[in-house]
Amino acid sequence: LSWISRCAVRTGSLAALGAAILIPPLCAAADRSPTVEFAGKRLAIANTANVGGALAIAADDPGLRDLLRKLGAAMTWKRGERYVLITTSEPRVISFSVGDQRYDVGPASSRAAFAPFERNRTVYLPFDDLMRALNLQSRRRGATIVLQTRGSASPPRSKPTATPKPAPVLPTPPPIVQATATPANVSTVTVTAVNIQTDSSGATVNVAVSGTASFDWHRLRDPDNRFWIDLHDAQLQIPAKDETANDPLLGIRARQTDPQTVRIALTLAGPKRIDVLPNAFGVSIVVGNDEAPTDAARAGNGITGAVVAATPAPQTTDESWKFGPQGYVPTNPRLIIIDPGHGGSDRGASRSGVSEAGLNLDFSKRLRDLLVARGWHVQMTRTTDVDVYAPNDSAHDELQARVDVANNAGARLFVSIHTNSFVNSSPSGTTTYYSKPSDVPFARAVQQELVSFLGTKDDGIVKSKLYVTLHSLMPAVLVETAFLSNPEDFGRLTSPQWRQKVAQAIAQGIADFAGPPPTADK
Amino acid sequence: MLSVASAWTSSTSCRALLHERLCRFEKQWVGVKRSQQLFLLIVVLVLATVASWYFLSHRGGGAPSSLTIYYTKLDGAESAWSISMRPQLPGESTVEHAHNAVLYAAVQSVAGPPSDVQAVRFPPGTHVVSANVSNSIATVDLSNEVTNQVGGTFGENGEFKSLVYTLTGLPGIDAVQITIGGRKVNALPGGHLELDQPLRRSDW
Repeated sequence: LSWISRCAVRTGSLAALGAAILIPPLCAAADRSPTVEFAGKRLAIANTANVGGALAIAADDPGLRDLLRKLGAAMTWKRGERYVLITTSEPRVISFSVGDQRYDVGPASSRAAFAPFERNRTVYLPFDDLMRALNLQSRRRGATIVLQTRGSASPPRSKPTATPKPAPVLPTPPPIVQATATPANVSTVTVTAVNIQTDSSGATVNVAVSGTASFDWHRLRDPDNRFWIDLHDAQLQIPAKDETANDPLLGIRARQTDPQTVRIALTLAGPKRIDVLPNAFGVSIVVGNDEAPTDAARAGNGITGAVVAATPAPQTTDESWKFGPQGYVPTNPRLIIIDPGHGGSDRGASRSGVSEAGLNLDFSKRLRDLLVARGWHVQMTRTTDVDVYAPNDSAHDELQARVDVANNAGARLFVSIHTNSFVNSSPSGTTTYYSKPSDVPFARAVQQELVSFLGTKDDGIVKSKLYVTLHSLMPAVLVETAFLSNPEDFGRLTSPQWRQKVAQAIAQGIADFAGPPPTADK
Repeated sequence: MLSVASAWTSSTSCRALLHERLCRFEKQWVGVKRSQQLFLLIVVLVLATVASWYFLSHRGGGAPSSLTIYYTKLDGAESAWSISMRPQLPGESTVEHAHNAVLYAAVQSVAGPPSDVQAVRFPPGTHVVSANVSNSIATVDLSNEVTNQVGGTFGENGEFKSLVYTLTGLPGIDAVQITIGGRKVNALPGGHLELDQPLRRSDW
């Protein structure tokens, strides 16, 4: 009787309860959306449809949006769009599309009960598949659907972001596999999914591997077109697989060949081109429809989880250079601008009461004193803990104000001093950032002196589109002295002696690049 | 061929022939040949229609079948993984499919690699609100969470670099314009990067 009482509560009258008992179909017709509960609370599910007995839910349903918010997930979709994408808190991306039964969760593809469809300018998604993709278990209690986080016996917490996943248990079809099993629970590397995606260009076999495994692969000569890849010290966590497959594949097998080895074998429809691409999820085997060249490699090896080789930095193209002509002539060649990053309402990074704004000002004053002693004129964009433009100004006004100081004065050089930070303690070291070609030799000189003086990790000179270095007309650098977020670096930053060394290093870098100051103003 | 030619002449020649049964067989054979020809013609026409539809709907590049999603490692270098793109669906135009590839790649890039991969990540909760393409510039609207930076150039630089690398790796995309909550911003609050102009790979 629970649904009847709920119906009565909703309508808020005993009369309705009576009516509901007498004519239940009326009540059901008034609100055909089922009652859905999550974390002990009813979700305001209102816009659903029935597809051959299966439940479909509208992408813009308020109850669904509420559920996503509670899960720390967000939907990317707007009216008229075919793709409905959801970013979970893990983070993983769930992808549905109108007219396609395939849906993706991270790297794994599955088949939904029905393809999402468009009606009344909204997209209806298969409810059960969506819940499974969100890692939720739905069970029925009378007419109520109760959702709870998969694998947790007790009602879920409001944000299941940190829920430790047990060794993934494979659900019954359609299989959703945990491509990113937490390695802490698993003693060895596991193969958590093997799936094939076929399209017009060929087939991709995605092998999801938790952790890092070495592998080697082999292929036989035409006409025996077989390929296999052995993953070493790995366990197959899914049932062994032996299936036929579509062109350019004929078949696929996945099995544990010995206690330490997982083998995935492919039978090819011909001497097809094959690329073995390790990636963050494991390894992908890309089989093309076209034929491999006769001299193509027949064996290879690698490591999963180790991602593809870092891309070489792209070459600077000339058209990217639009500010500050190379032939900049300072009207004030004896003047150096020092820009202490942040300040005033903008504290920058901070840790244990130490703020970046304060540290940057301290570095800058030390550098100013050293440069003045060497005969330079120095102007600072700020000399106290203030905003350069105005308190609570926009970042643009604030940064432009600093650039204006340098450009209006026709200074020789621009040095912005900052302190780095990150969300974890891992990154450390000193970096000199630059933007323009004319900054490069200056950045190199400053970075070289910094790393030889300081003993911090050398993170090199890094090109980026930073506002102050890009828009200042003269050679400019932005020095990130060290990381507040790294314990060793933090120890250095809080030492006045170390901060003095930073100032000395930058002063020396300036001398290396610009030589001594001109003897008289021109 | 000979028997076909003789059958075409006329049925009178059939009577002249002693082997009447053979003649009848030849007539039937001609009928079979004719329907076969008709059938072949239909098959060829259907194939031609399908082929031209396929050609017309797939011309102009469209979207690749797999997307390369970049992320910034904790040493500042770029790395990538690949994710398979849904094939173009019936009723989905090539332009729409290319747009969907940009959208999917942007969402994947902002979400970042699996949680066990050490990577520079956008602040928690940051997600793509929308993505559009116009004149080879992809405009990506990010949610307000992107302003929750911890400070420091390292993270901010790495977050946007990987997003720009991802999208400019798609055919026809040269630059990425960032908007936040639907509005163009010059820089993040307390930030370092210039965001009011489209970002290009050559900015790094």
